[in-house]
Amino acid sequence: MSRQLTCSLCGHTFDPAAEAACVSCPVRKGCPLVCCPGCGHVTVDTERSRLVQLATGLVHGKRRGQDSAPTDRTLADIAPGDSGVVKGYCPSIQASRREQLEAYGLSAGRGVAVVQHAPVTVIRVDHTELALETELATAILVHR
Amino acid sequence: MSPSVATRPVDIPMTVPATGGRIALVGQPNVGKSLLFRALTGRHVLVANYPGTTVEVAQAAARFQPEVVVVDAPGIVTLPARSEGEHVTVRLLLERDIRAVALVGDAKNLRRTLLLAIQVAEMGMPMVLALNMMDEAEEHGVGVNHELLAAHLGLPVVPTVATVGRGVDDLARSLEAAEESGFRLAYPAEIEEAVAAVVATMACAPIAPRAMALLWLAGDPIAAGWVAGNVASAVHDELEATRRRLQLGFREPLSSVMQATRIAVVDRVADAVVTDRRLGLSGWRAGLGRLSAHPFWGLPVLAGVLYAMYWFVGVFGAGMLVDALEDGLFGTAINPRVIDWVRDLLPVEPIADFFVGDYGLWTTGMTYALALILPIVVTFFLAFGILEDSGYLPRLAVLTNRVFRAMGLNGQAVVPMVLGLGCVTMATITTRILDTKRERLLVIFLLALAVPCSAQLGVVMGLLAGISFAATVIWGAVVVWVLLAIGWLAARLLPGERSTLLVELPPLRRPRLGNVVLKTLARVEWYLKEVVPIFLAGTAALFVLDRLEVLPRIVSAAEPLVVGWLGLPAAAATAFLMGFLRRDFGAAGLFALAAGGLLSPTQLVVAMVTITLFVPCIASVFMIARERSWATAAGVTVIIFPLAFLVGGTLSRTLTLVGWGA
Repeated sequence: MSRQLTCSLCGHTFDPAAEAACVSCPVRKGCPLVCCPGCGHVTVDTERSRLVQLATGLVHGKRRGQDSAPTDRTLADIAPGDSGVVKGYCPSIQASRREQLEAYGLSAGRGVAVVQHAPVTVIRVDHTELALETELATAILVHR
Repeated sequence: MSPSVATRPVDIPMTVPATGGRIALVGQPNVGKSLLFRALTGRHVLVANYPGTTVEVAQAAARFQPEVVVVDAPGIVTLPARSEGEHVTVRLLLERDIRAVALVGDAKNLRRTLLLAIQVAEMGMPMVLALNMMDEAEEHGVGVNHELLAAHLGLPVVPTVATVGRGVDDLARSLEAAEESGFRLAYPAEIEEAVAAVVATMACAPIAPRAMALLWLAGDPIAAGWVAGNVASAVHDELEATRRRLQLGFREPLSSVMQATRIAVVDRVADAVVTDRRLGLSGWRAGLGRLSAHPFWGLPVLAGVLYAMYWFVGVFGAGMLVDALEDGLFGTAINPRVIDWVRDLLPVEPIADFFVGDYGLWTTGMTYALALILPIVVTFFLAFGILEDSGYLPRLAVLTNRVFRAMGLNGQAVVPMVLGLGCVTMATITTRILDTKRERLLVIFLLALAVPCSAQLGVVMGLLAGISFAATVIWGAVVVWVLLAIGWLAARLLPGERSTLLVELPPLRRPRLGNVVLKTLARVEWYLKEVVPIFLAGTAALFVLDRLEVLPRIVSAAEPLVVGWLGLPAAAATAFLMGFLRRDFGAAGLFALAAGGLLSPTQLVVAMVTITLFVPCIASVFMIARERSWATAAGVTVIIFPLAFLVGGTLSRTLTLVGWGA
């Protein structure tokens, strides 16, 4: 899904990967700055700079990914200690794995709390604790 | 997993007479099913492989009705069945002498319990729902209105606490009086139409024809097997066509569609009968539970657990007990007498040698199995039983997942790998707990290659410690590196995908000593029945090789390789050959060479690395053949042999080049 960025000067919303004014810039690859196609103002693409994420995280006490559109959120994006509600599954997940997760209580509409993400994701659903690898956590869609 | 896994030719007949039919205990993993089984049955428990599979099933006469046998079915998460254990559970349910089902569920996780319960209730057998672990549910603030639940499901619901025997008598009474459940679920109209179209062909099914039709439509491999065997092939083609047409109407697999219907019903029932004050678990159990899976604090806990296990199994079991049994009891008391007695009885030398010679069934095979491996097995199973019942094992899988991930496995592989440090032959059998054939094969290969068993480990460590600490470090580093590198490579070469980790972390519980001891006894019995014959077969093969004087010829053929490539004295070739027959004999042979001052430190390290990686003992090769196939056993041997020599020779050259040990 294409990502949207809002210019901090003119408020124009655009897709930094395709619509930025600087797509033809020779040093664009890996550059965390992006030019707004509306006004040319240079904004920081937070997704591309770990350092900026770290800094904003320290200031706001938020985790990476928390600002993205709600449709993009997966279980892996929920910070340890927080909880969410299962919305569904990514189509990429194996049907049998999905049925197994549902049988453990991870079905749409059920609340789920994240305990930790390392070394693997540990979640609590009902009164069950489950450990699952990040690949599985990213296939479970949640909203808060 | 393919259903073919469930039809391997290893079985022991189920010999408990069940004139009054059988009662199946069915439930998800970690719901206290085995404890309830012990509470319902008497003392004589038969643990045996389910016919045609490698899955163990416990059976015993019911305490309340001696002519009825209670069967403890393997845990099942949901239908259709996916793992080998789940296949066995479905096959059990399809047996005609099942007179009732006790569905055991975790009271505090009623939704999970109900999802399985309604699937089994649909099968139409007399059934009772046992809501177990009521004490934990109360602790968590969960209350279940079981009378209302019984009314919703149309079957008796009995609250139980298996750990203290609460509700067990009620359960027994309900099972005696159990009747068919009237529970029936309405699926989407398209599915109902398909069921109506196929159900007539399943009229003679051992469960309700409608349930068989649903199970078959959902793609359950055991139901597929039954239908294929009981329906004419022309009709079978028609059924397949019906299923294909039905599937076209849905984006998701039929099993997912059916599950969604069931989940909706489960949610409705659970909302009506459960009150949940959502009390989190507190106290030492919750704290320790969190610590033991914590990314940082989990490691000291892991180190503590491993050290305690090392002390109990390695120092106490493999050290003290083995010394007392092997040198003491067998070496000085039993074996001299047995040898004299056999030689008197059978004065013909080759025949006497077959029993009590250098490679005698008694002096090598039985002594090895009883004096060397049995104490290790007993102490290991005791420690393992405690870990298993305490709920720590899944946390171990969580902590080690990253390491095994690199080798194309997941954290669940930790159990056979750790057991391999005790006895590789035994560990080979425990690979059955892994989900896929691919993982089992990978672990079996890595066990055979780079995991030294305790017998060998003892000799290797003793020898290396005699040179220097650096020697031990070099040996350990090379072996671990080979394990990781070859694991990484094998995972990429072997077709198929790695299965991601998904395990339940049950709350930590205080293990019940009685249950641990009974489990250990059952496992020791199994060891004596299944593993000891393998040791004896290995010894017999050895005896024949020795008699035919094949051994010296192999040694002389291997000499150039040992002398030229590994840079070791010619006599080391004999030690390597012995290493194949008994891993520790090989290391001990090198020990003798070292004691005679014939090996330099470099040579000793090279020899130890090579013999550690070298083909495992003959018993574990036999075990690989039995668990998988002779082709696999041959393949593993053919890969490991040159690999061990390649690593050994390379190490020899590297050490000489850097001038170590000179």
